[in-house]
This record gives sequence, C-alpha cells and structure tokens, in this order.
Amino acid sequence: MSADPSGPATFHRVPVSCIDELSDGLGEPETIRLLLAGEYSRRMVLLRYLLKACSARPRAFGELPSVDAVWRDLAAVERASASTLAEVLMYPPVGVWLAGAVRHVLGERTADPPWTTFGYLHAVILAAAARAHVALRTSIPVHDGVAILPTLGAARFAGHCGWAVADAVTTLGHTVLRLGDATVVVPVDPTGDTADWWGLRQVTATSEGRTLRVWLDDIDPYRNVADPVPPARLDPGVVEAWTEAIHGAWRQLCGQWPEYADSMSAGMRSITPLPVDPERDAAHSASSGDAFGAALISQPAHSTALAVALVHEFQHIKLGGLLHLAALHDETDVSDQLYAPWRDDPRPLSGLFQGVYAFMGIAEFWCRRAAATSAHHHVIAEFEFAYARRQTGEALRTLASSPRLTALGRRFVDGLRAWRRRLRSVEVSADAERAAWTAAADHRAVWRLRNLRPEQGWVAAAADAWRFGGPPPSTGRDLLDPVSADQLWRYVRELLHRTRIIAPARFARWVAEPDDLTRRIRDASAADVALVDGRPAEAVIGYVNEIARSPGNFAAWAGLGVSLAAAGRPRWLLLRRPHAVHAVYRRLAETEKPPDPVRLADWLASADIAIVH
Amino acid sequence: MVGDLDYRPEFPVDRRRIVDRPRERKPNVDHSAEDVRTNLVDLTETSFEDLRGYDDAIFEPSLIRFLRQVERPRANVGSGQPDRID
Repeated sequence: MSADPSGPATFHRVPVSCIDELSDGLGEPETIRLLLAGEYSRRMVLLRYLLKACSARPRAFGELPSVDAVWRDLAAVERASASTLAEVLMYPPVGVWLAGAVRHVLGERTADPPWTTFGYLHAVILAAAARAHVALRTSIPVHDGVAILPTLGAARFAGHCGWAVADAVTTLGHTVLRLGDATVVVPVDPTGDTADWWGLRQVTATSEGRTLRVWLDDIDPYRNVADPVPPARLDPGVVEAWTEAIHGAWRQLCGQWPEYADSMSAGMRSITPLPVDPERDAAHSASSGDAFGAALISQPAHSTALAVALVHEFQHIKLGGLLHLAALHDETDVSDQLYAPWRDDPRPLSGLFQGVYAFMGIAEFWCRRAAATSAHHHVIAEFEFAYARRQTGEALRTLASSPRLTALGRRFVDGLRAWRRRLRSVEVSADAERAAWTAAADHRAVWRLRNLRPEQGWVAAAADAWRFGGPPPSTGRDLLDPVSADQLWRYVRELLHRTRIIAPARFARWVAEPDDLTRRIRDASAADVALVDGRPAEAVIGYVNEIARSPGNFAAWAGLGVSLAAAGRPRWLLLRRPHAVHAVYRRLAETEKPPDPVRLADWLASADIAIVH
Repeated sequence: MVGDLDYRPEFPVDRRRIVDRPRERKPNVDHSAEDVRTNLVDLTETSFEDLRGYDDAIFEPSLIRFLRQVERPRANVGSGQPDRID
C-alpha cells in the first residue's frame, strides 16, 4: 500500500485556506477530512509507540495474544479491508483509549492490571475483522461480564464480576465469544439487541440533502473524556427522545447554517449521552481532544439546546484537530491564569483559546437563529447572541494580546477577530444588549472577587486612611488568589436573565412573590429579581443591605456594581476592582461599624486608581 | 484583563443580517504561502507492515508533541456550573 519505509516520508501539510476557513468558523468538508487524516496519522504514531513499548514488557498483554500477533492481525485485517480497519481505529473512544494506554506506558498507575487497558486493542482488531469478514481467532478482555467490540456493541455474560478473558472466533462475519461455559453469538445485524448482546445504536438524520450519522454511544468504556466508565444502557424511551432531538437539531442546523452542517456532517461521529446532573440547571456537554468527532451531551430539553451543544463541541473538535497538526501557541507553558467569561476559575491560554472558538460558534448560531425566527424564539436568540458576542469580545482581546501565540496562532486569532467584527455589526434590541451587558459585567465582577485580592499592605493603608480622614493610597498590585474550587458559585442572575426571557410568566411570578424565588433557587435574592426586572435603584438598596448582613457575599458586591451602572450612577471601581473595595470594607468591619459601600467606593476611586492587573 | 465596561444601552449600527453578508477577505493573509508543513508523517497510505518497519527518528518530532499532549489531556468540560465551560 505504501512506499518503502526507507524512502522519503511525506508530511501532512495544511493549506492556508483551510486555516482561514477554520478561523472563520467553518471548514469545508475537505478541510474536515484533512483534519481527520491528521488524526489518523497521529493515532498511528501513538499506536506504534504503544506497541513498541508493550514489546519491551513481557506480560503487557497478560493471557491475550502477543504484540507480534497484534501486528500480524492488524496487517491481515488491513489487507482485507483497510477502510474498515481505519473506521474502527478512528472510532472516537479508540482515541481516548489510546491516550490512556500511552499514559500507562509513561507511568500512570491504575488499579487494574495493564493488560486490561492494553487488551482493548484486541477488541478493536476483532471488531474490524468481524466487519471485514476476516477469519480471526483471538481473545479479548471482559469486565463485569461485558465484552466490548468497538463500533459494534457489547456481549454480556451474566454472573461475572471483575476482569476475565473471553475467547473469540470470527469467520465470514459470524462472531462467537466464549467465557467459561457461556457463549455469546454476535447477531447478524449487530445494531439490534438480544438477551446477551447490546448493539451500538446509530442515528441518521437527513435534512435538505445533508446527512448526519452519529453513534449514540452508551456502552463503550472509553466514551467518556477520561477514565473508563461502565455501560449505561439507555431506555428505549430515552433513545427515542434522543433520536427526535437529533433530527430536530439537524433540521435547524441545515436550515439556519447549511455550510456548518456540511462541515459537521463530515466530522461528527458520535454522541455520548451524559447523565443528568441535579446540580446543574441547564444542559451540559463536553469533548476530549483525544476523541475527534465525539460530543458528550446531557439529554437536551429541546432540539435547539442540542443544536447549540453540537456546535459548541464541534468547534472544540475542529480546533483540537488543528492543534494536533500545528501549534497555535506555546504549548510548553501553562502558567497563564486568564479571565474566561464563561468560567469561574482562571484559565490557561489553551483553555481560553478553546473557549473563544466554541463561543464564537455559539454566537453565530444564535445570530442565525435570531434571523430565522420571530416572536418568542427570536427574543431568546437575540439575548443569547448578544451575550455570547459580548463574552467573546473581551476574551478575544485577551487572546490577541498574548505574546505566546505562534505566527500561525496569530493568523488564526486575526481570523477570529474578523469573524467577530461581522457579528458585531449585527444589531439587536436594546433590551437584549442591556441584559447581555449586565450578565457579562456581573460575571466578570464576581470572577474578580473570587480570584483576585489586593496586596494586604495596601488594604491596611487604605483602612487607616479612611479611619483618620486621609486621602486614599495609590493602588498596589492585585494578586491572583482563587477561592477554593469547592466553593461553588451559582450564577443566579444569569439564570434569572434567561428565565425573564424564556419563561416570562414564571419570572413575573417571582417578581410578584420574591419569597417564592428564594425558596426555589438557593442564593437568589429579591435584589437579584429587581436588577433583572429593570429596577436597579431598588436593587442597589437591596445589595447594600445584603452586604451589611454578609460582607463576604461576592454576588451582592457584584450586584451592587452592576445595579449602580444600570441606574445611571456607575461606580466603575465596583466593577473593575470590586475585590479592592470589598477587602477594605471587611478590614474596617473588623473594628468598627463598616461604612456605606458606595461611599467607600467613591473615596477609593478618588485616588484615581490605575488598573494594574 | 480589563474589558470594555462602557454601559451602552443603545447601539446605533446598521441592521444587517449576517446570513446575507459575504465573507470578508482576511487582511493579514499571506496569499503567497499556500500551505504550512507540519512535522507529522502522513501515514494514511502506510500499511501496518511498513509502519512497523519505519525508523523511529522520523516520528520523533511529532511524537514528542503528542506525548506532551497525551500527558496533559485536553478535556473541554465545565467545572460544575451550567453554561460556563471552555
């Protein structure tokens, strides 16, 4: 199939036009295939590294066939059908498994013996052989009675716990697995279920001549972003709901953003349903840089939520693929601690880069949805568009100012900025813009309260000056000092903004009965409702009272700053350096009745404090 | 780190629909550079027999990068709160 390995090698090349397409949010199917080709080569390099490492470990595969047998079987299946083998090797969980197996070689410890990890490769080869109708006799790992055949399904042996090895034979597509006295025959149509077989389900959605074909993966142990997980078979009713949502999301994407649908059709391979998290109020999703084409998504409330999640994750997938081919920033330094408008914690440059790309996609999705809808749906889309656009603006400026971008990275970021300029020229209603500004400024203020603190010497000097009637000191440096990760913050006001727009009747009830809100939503307050309802002066009074009762309430400090701005009485220090005002206030509160926080902010601002951070 | 905090409730911009707008040409694109060479060997047409026979050195530049990526796996996932994920 290939030239003599001693001959000159060919290296992947990325056309500039592809980079520009990707930074413009899209990516022609040909560009996505280029990323897929890079992913394939990456997996081959890592697989070769893994097998060479295993060959130096006599018991790497335990009772399973040896490394030499693996090379031989791979070659045999490839000779019969290289495309089938490639399809199985490109199954997203194979990428997650491969990365984990390589980490194991590099020294990562796991509770289970190494062959249980490495042996997934035997299952990959068996699945490819079965699909390619290649005769093969091998053995594969079984965990808690479940033997996975990647891209096909799972054989189930009742009554088995822990790890075991099943013998497997496949001939002309007829595959049988044996464990002890038990036998499982893989159905001729492996997508269906039998008493001892779960087929890997696939959903195919077609709209306007475009097709999305994805596995609905609830069984593969490597379908998660990190450690292996047990199967979580979906009930038929849930599968039906997912299928309906996928069809609906695909119709929306094809109708509103057809070029993007073309791109996604070429690159999206699987959806892993995530369990609903009772701590979360909305749909959540995830993806892994090692699993090109896979999105993990919680069951969506409606097809629009799924469409947004698919765009979000596909943005990550595309950028992850490009980053495997070429560096866009210095990858060796992860010391940056940057503000990302969608996160509570400081993020490294790589995380901010990913987030910006994802949220640019989200912004454009909502922009197009706003243009394609009317009435209630239009109002929702306008807010979401305005909010995501505002978030990406600040994050893009941070990204563009980084000295750690490579030349290619700078070109990519310039492309993102051009994309955002287009989005910026789209008008939205004043109400949507106002709500978006409020939500974004609010988040940033709380982030600063949670993650920054002024130097203690400056705090002491400011407190002394206040007590003795002197002028405020010039500012010192802000230090990064994130609160502990377990101090979760529920961004209640973001939820309220969305509720006001999405469910106005419910919001009106909360306006009429704030007690009903505080009973239902932890950490919510009457001041929050007043702010979101467009009564900022009332909110100011509420937040001042909340601060007096609980000076460490970050949300109240941020709410005060946002409310004052919304009321036309902005105290910028409460938005730019709320952590400084908060720190001085608390220092004063240790020894005396604390001052009015607005007066304190005015006094501190009179020093014309420069923004240092 | 400081973004625009201007409170601008009204934005006097033209109403334009993005779906109707042509993509603008990138101002910084060097059109003389047609493609970027990577350090990853193209193995899409390489058989497993040949893959095994290659000299290690040819994979080294990309392998070093990949191992670094694998050791710090990239997961795009939230940290416990809704809608705020990378």
